[in-house]
Amino acid sequence: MPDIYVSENKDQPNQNPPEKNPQAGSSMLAAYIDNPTDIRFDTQSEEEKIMLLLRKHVITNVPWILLVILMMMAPFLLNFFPLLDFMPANFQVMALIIWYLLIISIIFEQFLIWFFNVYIITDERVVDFDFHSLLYKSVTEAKINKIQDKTYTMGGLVRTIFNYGDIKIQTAGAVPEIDFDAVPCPSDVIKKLEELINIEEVEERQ
Amino acid sequence: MNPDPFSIINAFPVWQVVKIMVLFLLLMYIVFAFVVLKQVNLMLSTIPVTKVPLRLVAVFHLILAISVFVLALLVL
Repeated sequence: MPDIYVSENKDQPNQNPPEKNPQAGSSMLAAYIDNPTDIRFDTQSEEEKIMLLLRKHVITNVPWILLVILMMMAPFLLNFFPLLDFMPANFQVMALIIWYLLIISIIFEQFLIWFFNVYIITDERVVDFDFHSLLYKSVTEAKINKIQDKTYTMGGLVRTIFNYGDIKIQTAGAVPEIDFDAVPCPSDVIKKLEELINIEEVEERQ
Repeated sequence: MNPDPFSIINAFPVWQVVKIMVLFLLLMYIVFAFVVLKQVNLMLSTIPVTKVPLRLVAVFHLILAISVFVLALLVL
């Protein structure tokens, strides 16, 4: 039977390869990882492929980093304001050690919360991993074909300069809304989601 | 004859009490460091990341907490 339509450039490489996002990184510490190959998550199926892994923009860590820097410098003020002089010398030394131990714990906890609060977009679904504190975890997910509406907001000077914003994804599933907070390049994420929704619709029709 | 109230206050072992409180707080910190280690394991089981040695850092954090407790026991 003759072919009705044969694409002319069937075997040729794609003329318009997808644009590489300037903020995309391949490092595990990046906030926007396009097609990560070395990451999997516990509920991921064998044939499911991660298209995008997002975290909060790195710049959102600045407030706690500044706080830590101030806390690290605080003991030097004791040279000018001898607030601990009423203590015996051994207690003063222990107070300083405990202070720096506290700083280490803040750094580690804040890093863990930033690192593991990820938003994953696969070719099948959108998954939001939330570790609100070290003791609370929630995982929210929605199938790509259940996505009804998606909007993003990017307000304020810092968000405009560093190109990050919040994305709201409304779904028809059990979870009415999934929020991606402070993710880099929200317009690119929306574009990618749109592509995946279109692919999913074509697959459903076939 | 009434005893001098200031002598009672001066005889009170303030720094001994502070030492016990500090040791108790550091003991709580060891528990916290242990919880952090458990939580890191849970996070890594959810999203396995092998390139960043987070489990190693959590173990180091726990060892540091125990070391500071032992140091406090010796120094204070």
